[in-house]
Amino acid sequence: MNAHTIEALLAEEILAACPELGTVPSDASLTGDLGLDSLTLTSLFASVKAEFGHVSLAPWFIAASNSGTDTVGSLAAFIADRLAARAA
Amino acid sequence: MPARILAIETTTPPVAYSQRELFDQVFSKWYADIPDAEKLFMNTTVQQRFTSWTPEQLATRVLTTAERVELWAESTMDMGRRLMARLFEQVDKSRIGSFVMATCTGYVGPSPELQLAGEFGLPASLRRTFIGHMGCYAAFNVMKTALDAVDARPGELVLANATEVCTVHLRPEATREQVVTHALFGDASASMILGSVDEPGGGPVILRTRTETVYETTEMMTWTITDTGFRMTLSPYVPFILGEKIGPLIEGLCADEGIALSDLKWWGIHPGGPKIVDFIGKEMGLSDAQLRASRHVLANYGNCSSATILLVLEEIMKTDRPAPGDYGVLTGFGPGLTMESTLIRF
Repeated sequence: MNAHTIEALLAEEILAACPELGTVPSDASLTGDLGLDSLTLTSLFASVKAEFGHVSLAPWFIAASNSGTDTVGSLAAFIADRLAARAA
Repeated sequence: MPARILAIETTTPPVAYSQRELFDQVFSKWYADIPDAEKLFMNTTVQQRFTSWTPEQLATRVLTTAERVELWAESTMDMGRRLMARLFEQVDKSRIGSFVMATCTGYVGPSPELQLAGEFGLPASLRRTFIGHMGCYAAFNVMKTALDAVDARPGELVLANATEVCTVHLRPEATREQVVTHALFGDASASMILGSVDEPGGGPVILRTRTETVYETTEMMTWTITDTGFRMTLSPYVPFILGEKIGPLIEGLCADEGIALSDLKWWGIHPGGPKIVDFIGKEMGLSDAQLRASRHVLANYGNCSSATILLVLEEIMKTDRPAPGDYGVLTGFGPGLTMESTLIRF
């Protein structure tokens, strides 16, 4: 599964929880631009686990926090990389 | 070498305010431009906090750091005096050989443990250690220092304290992150007397500690000094990191002692926020009963930084009343990210 497809799935999950957002741009920060609260984040990461099996997101949490770029696109790219590594 | 907890006492400033009172009287004005501020504030599960200020004082003006630290000193000494008076009804103060104290919410020199030791007539030869600015996990450093002191001089007793006056650093900075941090913190002080396991009278034994620092996460939680108070930042991803890292830490702690994870009956989790307790509970497969004390402290005191885990320990001891021989673990977190753990046999 490529990053684009994963990003679409993530956007679908986010819009299901927060329909008022209307759209989820790739470069939108989850906590900044989209303003997702801890409950929505918890639900989002639980859905990642349910959809893709156990993927340790700790490296993404760290990188996203340190750079201030916790974007939907970066999360999708990270998951795609991990899935590719798992399949290799 | 392990050490026995011979006494534990906790205290707070005299008055608690409900989360609703605090929001309506102070924070609703500070966060008027943040649409979901009330929801963020109330979602913390904190019901009340003890504060060293009144809501009226909080709402008046923005104090300088010097003014805040002056208030910290007054409250620290007040709480310290009350705790020491209670402790010295239980142990012979002439046997206190070391005094170790932690805080991250204010500084003064001579430091508070020196002033308190002088007021209560502790020996001039007292070994004093003041641990500053380490954050919410500093009670573990207090315990580690105490363990070393007991190991080196088993005939002496150690006075151990963690005091935090977090509420003097409330500041009207209107961001969603600051709404959450300002909804969590309260004031408290906690003290223990520790001695060798051969001391008479029973009491829980601190068996060992284990630390894990995630060096690449230094930006995720910070505590810096500004001209208008100390300022905390807290990444919303901290609970998720801790949820992933807690298992190996506690497994290592148990392995060091040669016991199984399933031997741990009692859990004291530093309730930095509700998600931290939830995530760790889920990751470690804990029951609501095992999370009760941590949630109780968060609801009734808020996050009192380094003093919090000792409030949780006292709550376990007084309400849950573990059976002699039960194993328990205390765990706490703070800037670093640093994860600390202590294994206890009740």
